[in-house]
This record gives sequence, structure tokens and C-alpha cells, in this order.
Amino acid sequence: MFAYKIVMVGDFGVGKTSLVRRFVDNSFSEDYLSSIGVSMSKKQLTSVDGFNSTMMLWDIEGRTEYKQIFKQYLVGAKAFIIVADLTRPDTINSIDEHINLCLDSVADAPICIALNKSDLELRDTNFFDELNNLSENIISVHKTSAKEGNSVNEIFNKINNTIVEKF
Amino acid sequence: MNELNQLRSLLLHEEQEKLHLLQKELDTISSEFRTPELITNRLAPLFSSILKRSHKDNEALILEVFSPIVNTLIDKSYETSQDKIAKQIAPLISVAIKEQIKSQKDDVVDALYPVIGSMISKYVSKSLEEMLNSINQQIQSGLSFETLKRKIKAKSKGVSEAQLLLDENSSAKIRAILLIHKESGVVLAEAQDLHSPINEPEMVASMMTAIRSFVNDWIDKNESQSEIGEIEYGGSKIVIESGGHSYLAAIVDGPAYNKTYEKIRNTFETIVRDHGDDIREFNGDMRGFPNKEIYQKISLLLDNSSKKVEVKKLHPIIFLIPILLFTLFMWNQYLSNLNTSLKNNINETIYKSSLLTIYRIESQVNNGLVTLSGEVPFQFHKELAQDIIKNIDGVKNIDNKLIVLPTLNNPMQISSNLHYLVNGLNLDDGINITYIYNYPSVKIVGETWDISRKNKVIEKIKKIDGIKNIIDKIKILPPNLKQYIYFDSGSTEISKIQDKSLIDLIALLKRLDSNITVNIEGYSDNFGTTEANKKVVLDRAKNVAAFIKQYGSIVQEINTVGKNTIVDGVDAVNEPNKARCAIITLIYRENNVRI
Repeated sequence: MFAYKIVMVGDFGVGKTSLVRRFVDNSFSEDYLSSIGVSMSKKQLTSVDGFNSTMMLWDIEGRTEYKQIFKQYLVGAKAFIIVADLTRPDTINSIDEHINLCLDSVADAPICIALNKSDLELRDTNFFDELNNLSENIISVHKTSAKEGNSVNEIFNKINNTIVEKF
Repeated sequence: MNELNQLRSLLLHEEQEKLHLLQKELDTISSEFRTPELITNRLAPLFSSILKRSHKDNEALILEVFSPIVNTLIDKSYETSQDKIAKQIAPLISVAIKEQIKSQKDDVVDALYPVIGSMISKYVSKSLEEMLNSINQQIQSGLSFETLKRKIKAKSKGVSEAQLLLDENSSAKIRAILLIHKESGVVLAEAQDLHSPINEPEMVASMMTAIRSFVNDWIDKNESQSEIGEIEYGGSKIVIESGGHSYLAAIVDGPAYNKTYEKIRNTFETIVRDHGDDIREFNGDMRGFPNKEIYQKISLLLDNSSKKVEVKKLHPIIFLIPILLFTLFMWNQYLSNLNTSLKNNINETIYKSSLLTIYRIESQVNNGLVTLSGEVPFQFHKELAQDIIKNIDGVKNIDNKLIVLPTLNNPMQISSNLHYLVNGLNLDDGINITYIYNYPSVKIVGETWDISRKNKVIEKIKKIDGIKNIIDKIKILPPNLKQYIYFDSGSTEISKIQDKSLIDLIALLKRLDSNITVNIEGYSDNFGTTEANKKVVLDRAKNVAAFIKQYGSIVQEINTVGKNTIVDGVDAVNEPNKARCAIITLIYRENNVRI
């Protein structure tokens, strides 16, 4: 039995909350996002090895030009999911900064990158390798669509399996 | 021998000199060796170089050699000059602690928690004791029924009154306790009251951790080394006791007293002392984590509530039942009187409202709750009834069950319809009526020329919706006609001049029904013989009747009378032409009775 925290990080409007909503069993009202800048969700998972886990998902307020990410919320995470919007190159460019911020809080945390809104962007993306090379901590890069559900379960299961393996 | 010596001198002269010098040098050294001061002077400059070299070549050996010496030296120095050492180290301690807190804050908190926690507990206990004494003094000086009751109870139980007061009031109920990992917000152990469990403890723990981070971040920026200690919501609160790597969150219903805080603090102290290492090492893997042992400790905090329930069960409340029943009976009587009085008041108010008087509005009163029932024609009336009674003393709530029936006519509307109809009818010649409206009846007074006009009036009024009853007070009053037809002297013929008057009369008669009788009286100027005049007056009347019949087919009966007298008010001598006439009047015959 494992219990851990993971944090969704990304710029404002990239679809973090929608990804979480697609995936979780239960969550607190998203109103909390606008009040203290974080909304909680819970998911019970079973790893490939058959271990049960309780994943607590911290969906934090996206970064904007005027408001930086509240670093205290990253502390104690077992892994991070950095989300970017495929249709907005600026959100992809800021992945590097988010990685640094995450690793600053938890040095050895595995990171998954979700390139969201893949349903809107049909062009082939050829920067996967480039993204993979941004850090050794990156375990995978996925094209996701919260709207159609593409790769949503995969990304969370990947994170869970990686964490359980580390134990 | 001398030769040998000489040879030796020759051959070894140089060596012997050197040997001599050597001997001299050796003697000097020997003599120096016997003088420690000289050896010290010689060796002192080299000593540091030797140590440096040896330390470089074999550090371990040097440490091994010097450690016992240094330790002995320190011990000896500590024994002999403690004050001096304390003075020297003192300035360093605060710097060292600060440095340690800066780099390893959580470890320092865990290490100090058991000590400081106990210290605070003792301090609080002492303060509480002083407060109890103060309260006791106050209670002893006061005098009231409550005080007297408490005094007796305290004596019988053998405890102080203040203690009793505090115990009575300290009804804090701990609903749930969560031990939460400080960084990740993961629940390490939890215990909950089964009667009122909290939903999703993991979510609550995560949210609380986020709130702590959020608030503590702000506190950090303003005051160092403080943390959020309590979150209050409604009548409950979350008491937070923080350690280095974990914190205990107790969800408390009702007010929390010193006892509650003390219990929570003591429990957390025990957990940190017994499982501090496990908590510090926790990385998300619950296998091997002593959550069951921790559960046993924290679940003890929940126990007080169940004990209290048991005590309550034993209370001899049964003796109070007759008193309660009697009180209840008296209370009901009182309420019933109140209800009746209030009902009368409400009915009077509704009746006095002119717009509502006419409707049957019923009211029921029960302990300030007024239920209105009945039927009204418009929402306006329904709201009006509610408005006028809501400010009556004793009305707490109104259940307005008045039914709005659109078919139920508005008396105002009925009155208005009546007004227009009657005005319209009065435009007709021969109708002059008015009405007195008293919902739902209407009384019609006035007069019409004939029955058919009267029937028309009644029929029309009947057609107005909402009139239940018509009180008919209409009199039949034929046109007030007194038509004079003048004749020449001795003549009974109708002159041409008179034709027009008669034709107008015929036109009027055609508009009247048969219950009207046309009465024609013939008069003379009284000249000539009485006999002759008798014939003349009758003929004059008959001729008028014949003219009317000839020129108009009328339904009325005509009655002709010959009056052998002078018309009232006419001077036959001076104005004989006015006396020679026939007078036509109209008479109503009720029930067709002939006059």
C-alpha cells in the first residue's frame, strides 16, 4: 500500500484541471483553485505489480505573466506532471522553466510531460526528443487530449508504476 | 712506544685533531643534554615543523597519539575551570542553534518537542490552577440559586466548584484525528468517531496541508518561527499540533478547553517520541509504517464522548416525567388561550379591511402560526390579507392557503359593471333607475315607464357575472303626460292644428306596452245647455280616441270620459277656448286590472 502526492504544473489555461477531471474518482470543488490556488483530487490505482496506491493529485493554479507558481505546493511531491498546450508554443517553451522549478523543490522526482489539446493540433510534432533531453528526470512525453481522453490514463499509470518501482 | 706515538702523530695528526674537536663537541652536547633549558631552546623552533610533517605522513597515528592527551586535558580543564569554559562557549551556543535551525529545522523541532511540550503543559497547568483558585474565590463570594446548587453538588462530589464549572462546560468532542505527513499531506494514521465520520480524510488532509503552506508562507514573511495552530469553522475547529515532519490535526466539535489541547499535545508528544524516526523516514510506502500503533494512541482521544453518553443513560430522569407532563399541560392551555385571542384579533382585522370584508376568510392559529383559508378573486386580495395580519402581535408565521379563484368576481369589478350598465340603461327614455350594491346582492330602485322596460333592466343586470341576487324595487311610472286638445266653440271635431300633438302622442304610445291605459277626458266651456254639453264632452273624448285609433295601431286600451265640468284652474268666462278641450293622460294598470 502506497500513498503519495503528485503535482500538476503548467501555464494558465493549458488544461491541467480538465486532465485531472478526466481521470480522478473524486475531487474537491474547483473553487478552491481561485481561493488558495490549489484543488485536491484522489485516485486509487493498482500498479502492474499489483500494488495498491492512493494518489493525491494537487492541481495548482497555472502560471501567468502576473502570478508565479506557489513553490510551497510542490514540496513533498513524489512526481510531477508538467502540462503544456500544443496549440500555444509559449506554453511549450516554458516547460524547461517548470522542470527547473520542480527539481528545485524535489531533486529526484520523476517528471511526465503532457502535451495537451492534441485533438486541436493535428500536425506532427517532432520535438519529443528535444523535450526528452531537457532533463534526466523526464520519464515520458505524451500527447494528451482531455476532451477525447487520449493518453490520459496512460500518463497517470506511467507515473504510478514508476513511483511504485522506486519503492 | 714513543716511536709508535710519534708515528701515530705523524700519520694521524689531522685525524687526531678532528677527533679532539669531536670530543670537545660531544662534551658540549653532553653538558647541554644535562641542561633541559638548552634542549628546549634548541627543539622549540622545530616542534611545529615535526608535527606538521608527521600529520601529513600519518594523520591517523597522530590523532591516536594525541586524542587521549587532549581528552584528558579537556576533562581536567572542564573540572577545574567550568565557569571559564561556560563563559567562553556561551556566545557560540546561540549562533550554533541558529545555524542548526536554519539548516535542519525539522530535526531540531523533533528533538526539542518532547521537552518543550512538557514544559508548556506544566506552565499551562500551573496557570490553570491559579485561575481555578481565582474563580473559586469569586464563586464563594457570590450568592444565587445556581451558586447554591453548585455548592451542594461540589460538596457531595468532593471537588471544587470551579472544577465542576469547567467540567460541565468542557464538552469538547473530538470527531476525528489525522496524523499527516507535513510535506506531502499524506495521511499517516487516522481515527474517527464512527457516529459522525468525516468524508474523504485523505482529501481533507491534503487540503489542510495546502492551507497550512499557504498561511505559513505568509506568516514566515511577517513573523519568523510561527505556524498556524487552529482553523475554526462554524461551531467546530481543527486543532493543529505541528512537529518537525508531521502534524496532528484534531477536528473538534464544540468549544475546546485547555484539557482538550493538553490531551492532543500529550498524544502528539508520545507519537513523536515513539515513532519520530519512522515518520522522518516515511517516503510514501505504508508497508512497515507503524500506523496501527499510532492509531491505538490517537483513538484514545475519541474515548471521552462515549463515556459521557453512558453517564447520561444512568440519569434518573424518570422522576421528572410527571413534572414535565404537568408543565406541558399548562403550557398547552396557555398556548390555546393565546391562539384564541390571536385568532379573534386576526378575524377582526380582516373584517375591518373594506376590501376583504365581503370574502369568507377563515383563520386557524397554532402557536403563532396563522393558517388562512378561503377563496378570493385575485392574488391582490391574497397578499393583502397576509399583509394586514403580519404585523399583529403574536403572529410568527403565516401559511397563506387562500385560493385565488379567477371566476370569483371582484366586487369592485361588479360594481363598476353595474355602474356602466345602469348609466347605459338610463339613456333609454322611460328608464330612470339607480342601484345599491351589497355583495353579492344588488338592489335596483327607480322607475320605468312600463313592465317591458323593467324586465329589460332586470335581464340586463342578471347578465353581470357575480351578482347572486337582485332585489327589484323598480316602480312602473308611465310618462307623466297631460296632453290638451282644444276644440272650437260647439265643435267636437279635431282641428288640423291639433293633429301634430296627437301624432306625437301616438308615437309615444307605440313605444309603450299594453299595461298602460290611455285616459281621455272631454270638457266644455259650459255655455249652452247641460244636456247638449254632456254629449259634446263625450264626443270630444271619443273623437280624440277615434283619431288615435285611426292613425296608429296601438296596443293600449283607451278609456273615454265626458266631464261636464270646467277644467280645474281655467276661467271659462274669460278664456272659453281653454275650457273647450280634451285631456289625455296615461295610467298604469297593475296586474291588468282595469281602472
